[in-house]
Amino acid sequence: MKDLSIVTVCMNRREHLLATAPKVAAWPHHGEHLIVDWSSAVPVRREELPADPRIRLLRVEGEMGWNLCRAYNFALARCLGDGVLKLDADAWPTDAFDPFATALRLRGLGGLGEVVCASGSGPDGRKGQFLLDRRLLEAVGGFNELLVGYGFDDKDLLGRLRQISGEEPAALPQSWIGVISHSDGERAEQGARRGGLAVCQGRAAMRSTRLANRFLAAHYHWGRFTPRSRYREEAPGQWRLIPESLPRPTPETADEINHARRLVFWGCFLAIPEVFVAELPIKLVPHPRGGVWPVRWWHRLWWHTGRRLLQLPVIFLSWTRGSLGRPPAPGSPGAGR
Amino acid sequence: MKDLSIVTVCMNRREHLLATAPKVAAWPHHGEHLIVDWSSAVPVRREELPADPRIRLLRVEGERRWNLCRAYNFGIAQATGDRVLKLDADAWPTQAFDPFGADGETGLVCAFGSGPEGRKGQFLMARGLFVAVGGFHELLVGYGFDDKDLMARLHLCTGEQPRSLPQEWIGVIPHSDAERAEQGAGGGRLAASQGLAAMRATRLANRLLAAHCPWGPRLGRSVYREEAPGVWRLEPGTLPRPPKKVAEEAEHARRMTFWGYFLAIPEVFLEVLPFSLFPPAREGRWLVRWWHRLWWHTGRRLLELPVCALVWARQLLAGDTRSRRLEVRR
Repeated sequence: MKDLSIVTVCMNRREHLLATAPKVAAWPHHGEHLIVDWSSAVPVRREELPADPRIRLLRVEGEMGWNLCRAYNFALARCLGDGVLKLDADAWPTDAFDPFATALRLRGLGGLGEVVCASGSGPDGRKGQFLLDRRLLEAVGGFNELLVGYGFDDKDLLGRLRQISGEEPAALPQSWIGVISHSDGERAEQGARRGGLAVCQGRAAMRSTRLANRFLAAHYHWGRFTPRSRYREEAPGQWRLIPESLPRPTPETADEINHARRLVFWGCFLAIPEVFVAELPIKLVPHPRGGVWPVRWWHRLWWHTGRRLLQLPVIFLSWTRGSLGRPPAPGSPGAGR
Repeated sequence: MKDLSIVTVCMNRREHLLATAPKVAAWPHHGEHLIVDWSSAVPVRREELPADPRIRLLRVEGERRWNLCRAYNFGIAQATGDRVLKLDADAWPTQAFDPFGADGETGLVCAFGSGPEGRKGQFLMARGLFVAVGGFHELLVGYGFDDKDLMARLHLCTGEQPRSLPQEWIGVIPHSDAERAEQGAGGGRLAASQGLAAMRATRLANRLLAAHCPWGPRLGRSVYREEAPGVWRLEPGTLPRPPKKVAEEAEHARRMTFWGYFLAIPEVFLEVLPFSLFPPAREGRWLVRWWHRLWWHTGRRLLELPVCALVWARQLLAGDTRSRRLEVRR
């Protein structure tokens, strides 16, 4: 690996970016820091960033929501280095970070020979940062663009790296990456200050997205030749999606996944067994519209009454849990919720 | 013309195998019918099978439960033909089946069954292609998603969707979901509900395993050694296992789905209820106790009442709306 590109994409994370960019600029090992502004409401301006000539700023216009996979694939396709360090807007490499350490390389990978392949370790989103040989990234096709919303993008990429290399990617020591601390809970639970019902709704939505992304990854193995989103340059440094290039699952799979997502959301939010949600009239437990779950007054009424009533025997039985049971598996979809 | 191997693996499906083997023997297009007895309690004997010299019988010893993916990876690795027709013990090729009429325009041999009763799990494929994608995903266990996972990897490898074998090309012996899910045959709604729940549980867990650990030709798979002519056994230590966290997630999802569907208890409640009341499956078998059955017959049915009422009201309203529309049209 000769030249290293740092790639950062952000949407409306201006404070994080402005706080971390000087720290990245102070790091001596990279040749380029490519920053992509993913349709932030207030565009990031070059003059706000450090006067480091290695910084290159691009902007993608017209995106309605955050999509990590598409955003990073866009950036990875435009960086120049033969090694890539993917760093989110809230992360930076510390002085201890040695991108040329031999421990980060996988040996004898097919026709590629020795390649750098490592992912972050530790808390606060470090696991979502990667240092990869560009050829390896191209060989797996980058991120899976069918995944949407929160979670599984990094695990999916790691799984495909394992698949192609037959080896476990190396771990970047926790001390090599600094992050602005904000927990997974904060990332996903924007409704934490809005009371129990909103938190419960947020968790149900997160759970349904996590399951949907796992299903999508299982049904669609992303790869080198999978057609991905394309963009056209409208003005220097300003890009926009070519709408027809957006990858979509087949209608059959989309139906299956939307069905599973609906069962999980309403099942979790209203505590109705999924087997019954499947039977209920779809008007009562509908699909999301534009990514938003249509929660009506009768859902809220049920949440405050029927759901709590059903919960009573559960609370009673769960008192005995200490003597009878064991906690849910760590890292399982249900753990910690 | 290249040789075609039919590969059939079975475990304790003696009746199915003995019923279908003569039908396979009557088919003229294959050069070999490789039958693998996957540690059936009563071993399949060669003399029970038709006197067709194309039949080759192998046995794998020491397996405690059915594992389609490992079993067929073993079977297809032993096949000698350039193309492989995977046929379960309850299936046979009908006289309409033309194994050379399913090739793609590009010459790619890759076609899956179509239609009901498990036909979708049968396929005709170039053996080289099967090897190139790494065969079946050996981390998947139990019923479901093995074929879809294989198809997804074939699509990734070839860039083409596998073709379809016409429904009438494959005959099958119908059998219930409970049997498929290894919960045994049995009557009654409770048994059917249990079988369906077990099937859903493995289907979900297998999707999670496939998502976390995509399979490929570079990953280590099970290795077998030949103990005696035609008798094989797994080499200890070669069995692939998912990473610990993935295994835990899959087991949790399996447990939540089974008890959630079987007893109609919401997952959010199951997670906080005592673990020992709703234990995970052991060797693929779910331990259903008397209190689970009692709840199924009482509490579950009680909870189902308002759901049934709503469904009934919807049907009534839909029927009413439909009759009004018909009146308007008239």
